[in-house]
Amino acid sequence: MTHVSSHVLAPTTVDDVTTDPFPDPVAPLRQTAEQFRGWLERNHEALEPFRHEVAEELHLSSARFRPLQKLLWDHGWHRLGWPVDVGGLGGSPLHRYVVAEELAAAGYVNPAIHGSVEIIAPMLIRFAPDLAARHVPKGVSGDEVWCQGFSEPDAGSDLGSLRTRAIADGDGFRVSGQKMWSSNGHIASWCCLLARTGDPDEGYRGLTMFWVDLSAAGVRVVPTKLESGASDTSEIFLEDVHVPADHLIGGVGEGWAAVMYLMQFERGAYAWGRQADLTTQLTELIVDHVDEFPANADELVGDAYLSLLGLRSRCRDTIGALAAGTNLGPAFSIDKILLSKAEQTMTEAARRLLSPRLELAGTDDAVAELWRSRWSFSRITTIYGGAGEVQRDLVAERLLGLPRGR
Amino acid sequence: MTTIDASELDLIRRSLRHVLDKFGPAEVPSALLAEGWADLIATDAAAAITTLSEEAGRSRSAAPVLDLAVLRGAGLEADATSVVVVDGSALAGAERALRFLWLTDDGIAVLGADAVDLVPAGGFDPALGLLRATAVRSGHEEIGDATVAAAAIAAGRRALASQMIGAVDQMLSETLEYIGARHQYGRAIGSFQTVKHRMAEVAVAVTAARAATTTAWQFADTADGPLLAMGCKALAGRAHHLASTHCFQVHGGIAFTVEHGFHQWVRRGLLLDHLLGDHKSLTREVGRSVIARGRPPRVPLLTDVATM
Repeated sequence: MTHVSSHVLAPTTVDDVTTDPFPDPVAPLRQTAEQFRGWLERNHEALEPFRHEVAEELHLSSARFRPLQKLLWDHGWHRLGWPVDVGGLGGSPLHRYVVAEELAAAGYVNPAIHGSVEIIAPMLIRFAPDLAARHVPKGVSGDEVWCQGFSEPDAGSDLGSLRTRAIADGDGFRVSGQKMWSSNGHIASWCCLLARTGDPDEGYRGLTMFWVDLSAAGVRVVPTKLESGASDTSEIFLEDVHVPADHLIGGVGEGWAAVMYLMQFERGAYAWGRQADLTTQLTELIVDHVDEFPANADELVGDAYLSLLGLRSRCRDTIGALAAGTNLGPAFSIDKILLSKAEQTMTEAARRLLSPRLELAGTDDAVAELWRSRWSFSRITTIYGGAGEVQRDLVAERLLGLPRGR
Repeated sequence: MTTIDASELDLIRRSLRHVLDKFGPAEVPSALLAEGWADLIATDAAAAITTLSEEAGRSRSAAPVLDLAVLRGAGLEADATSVVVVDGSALAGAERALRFLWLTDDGIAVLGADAVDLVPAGGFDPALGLLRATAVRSGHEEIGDATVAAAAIAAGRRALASQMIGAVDQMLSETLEYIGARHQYGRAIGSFQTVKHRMAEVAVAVTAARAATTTAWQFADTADGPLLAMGCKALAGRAHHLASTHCFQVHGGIAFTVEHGFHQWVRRGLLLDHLLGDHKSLTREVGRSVIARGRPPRVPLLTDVATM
């Protein structure tokens, strides 16, 4: 194993990266989990700031958790399971999901920004190896924030109807149009953006995926104020934005294949990471607040835990398949539906377990603020990444074989 | 851990199904033993009991497969003449009893064949042949304490979960066939989105229940075993309840007829859900247990997944 030279921005009490060897990428997963737990324990003082989530704007939370991303990269934990070509240590991708689980189980927060890297990076690696080699190390280590540019004002769940145009121009393309619902958009430096290179009537066949520099001329990013009080999603306006030819993700007309590849990770691997965090949230809810629970707490906690048990058991099976390179395609819609149910069951249980704090307590009640923000976020989990109705269509048509059409 | 591969499991599934289809409830246990049941559960109890229970659910068999699961859970040898009493009820085929194993939270008591009076329970699903059991003679031998009883009850819950899961599989596939063939307004009713979404809900619920049952078996012998058994039975009970509701509705009026027979699924589900705790009471019990421990179990483990 070789060491890359690296700098540690975070507290110096963390194990020294120059003497602490990188974890072994071919070690059994059990060993990785044990060693990572040991590392977390040894460095718990330095890691303390990353234990607590508070309700805050995205630019603040992402800045707060960036040093954690850096630490995990510098010490190799976040290099496990990524190919060597993109700065990783190699080994099964399952190592990444084991690290996410152990981080959450030890009471830390998986950085939200890292979640979007876990979704986008596999597509870059598959469809644009050169871009992946340059950007994945920066994305995983927290140096860069990425976003998705898929939805448009008139193309939400019906992504195949999108109208943002990309026209060949010299050694690249000129992109014009409008994107919205780009999570992390206003703090991101790069965007994987789906645009139409074919005819408008070609639907999903005429689409191409681009890697767009959000600091390029002609790009304007405007955060969308959400009812939760946060602004973690943005509109992206593009006017004749030049994208070089080597910034295509896949070939011209391969955009749909790229986005469908990405969706496996958005609907599958992401669900594993979320259930790990939700389980930690349920644990903290019980440990910190059991004394104020109402008489029907058994039912509420039971509902919340059962939604997590079903989700986690399902995800264990599907991400095993994902890591083995099997494309389960529409089967991931089941994970996605189970995740959105778990998110909403959890936050609704929390609201009622803490009642009436979420309903009545002011902004000085940090617990109420945090759970209010989680509750609001959970409302959108049946919409982002393909609305619940679309997921159910996919299950019915593609898995159960019912006739297409509505 | 499963030690039986997929093609072997398919063969086993077919031979178990053959026994269930061929024999009446009283004969099924001895027929299974003659087919090598003891060896099968020694090789892979999870696969054996899950498969048998799913097939019993799928075929709507009244065979007392629960008895075999409970015997295994209690650490007793498989035998065809021990009849289990749970919630004061014995399953169909109890006339084979040479002894009764009376299961409560406190322990397992053995009663002689003549010490128990059996009366048909009637109720929602007479076809299940459930019997109300009353101990008519005092004097019995305790063969298991509360810990053994808890393991036996957990085993029973996992088996009942699989039985409901098998039933949901079959209900779903019969319903998919029906809504693909039934036309109204010039199209198959299965092409209407609201009908599709009801079916998707059922598929999602049964997928979660099945995955949770696998988890419950994987951790059956750990401290989480009883909690996970309750959890998987609650999820299976919910899935059956959803399937009963949605599949019944999309059948329209025909499901109300005696001749069609769909109602038998609904009735069977109510009974299977009732035995050893219905999904609503188990949900509360799971919650109570999670609160008491202070933390939910973080299982299954990814570290058990093979990396190659």
